[in-house]
Amino acid sequence: MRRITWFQRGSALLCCGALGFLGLHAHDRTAQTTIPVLQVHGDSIVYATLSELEEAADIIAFVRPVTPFLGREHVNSFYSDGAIQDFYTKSRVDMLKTFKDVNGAVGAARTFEMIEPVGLVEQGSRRLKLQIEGYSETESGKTYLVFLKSNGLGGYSVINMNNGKIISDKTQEIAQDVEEIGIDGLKLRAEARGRYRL
Amino acid sequence: MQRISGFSLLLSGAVLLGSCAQQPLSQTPDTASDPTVIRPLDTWCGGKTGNGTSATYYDASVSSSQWGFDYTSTFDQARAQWSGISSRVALNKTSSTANNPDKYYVGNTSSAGLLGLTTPYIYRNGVLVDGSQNLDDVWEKTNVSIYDNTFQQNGFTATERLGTATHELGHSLKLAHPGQGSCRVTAIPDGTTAVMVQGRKAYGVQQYDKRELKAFWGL
Repeated sequence: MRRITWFQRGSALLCCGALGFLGLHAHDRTAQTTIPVLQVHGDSIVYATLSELEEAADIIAFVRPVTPFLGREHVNSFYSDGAIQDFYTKSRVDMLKTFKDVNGAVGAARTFEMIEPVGLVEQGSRRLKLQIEGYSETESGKTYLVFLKSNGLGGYSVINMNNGKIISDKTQEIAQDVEEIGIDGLKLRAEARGRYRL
Repeated sequence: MQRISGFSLLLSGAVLLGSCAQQPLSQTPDTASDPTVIRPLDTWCGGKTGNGTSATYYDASVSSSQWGFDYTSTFDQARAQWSGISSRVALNKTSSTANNPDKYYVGNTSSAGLLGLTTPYIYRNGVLVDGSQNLDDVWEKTNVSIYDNTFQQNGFTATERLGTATHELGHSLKLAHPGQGSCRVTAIPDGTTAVMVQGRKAYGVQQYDKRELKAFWGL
């Protein structure tokens, strides 16, 4: 059998590593780019100040999502003619610290399922990510201050769209949030960071 | 020296690639900061099939007895709010689903605080698809939803429900939230009210809304 030199062995390993790296990145890029992101416009209750938001929320807490977005449960409901009625994502989060829990829904639980106004929807042959008013989902492994309210249907969802969740590390606040939140939102967030020591 | 066959090298490479390709969905990264996200610009251009005149169809959910509220009247009043402002705008009720009328719905939502949504549809390669990706396209039709459970939970009056319905119908006429259009951007002066502002409101079409409607569709 032909002998393989250290140089050949090293080159082969390098090639494998490079191919593996490219393969991994191709997979990530596919996951990110093959799902078009659509922003759906509408109307929602706006809480312009922190005190209004705190009063409206049933749960105020530091949370950390457990699962990456694509691995979460995405729920759709439809009208009788097949048109989409509602879409949302159930995000399992670790409860790090609870400041308000008026209905005792969290209690001593270490994890909780919160609803986010964003979801994956199948439309014909296409899979779409729909964001309500530009709401961007929480990311797994990152810590957020969230304001949740009962939806009257047994769940608790983020209220005030992007101004109902504030990432703890300000440097990781994505540009989309800042664009959407406006002047009142910037003030609200700054106030929340001070009050909750983010 | 240890001998490595070409086959074993090939095999290890294939295993490495295979492990990457079969990475489970749940391990893929989040896309919240994805720079490829397509975002609408600041106004909605492009018009609408039929221009400002749209046939509007009430889905059976509008008159459903489960709500205990007359949403047919709510949508009737909301349509009337937008009439008589521009000679080129009319939302005419139809009992037929032929020719892609705008459709109105009443439903429930799991997103607390969500009042309504409007989804535009466009033709792409002969197929009617969700047009939210590019709001400046010519819309073929829209689907308008308002959510009863949010109204009930927050004690909305009939006037406030009408405010939401009127807001959504404004979207169906290509009006964006003030300052967020892509075709025309008009900053709303402090203290000015507009039905196209987001949030709870106990009023209908205001001067700002009328001005924007006429500026877009004509007098």
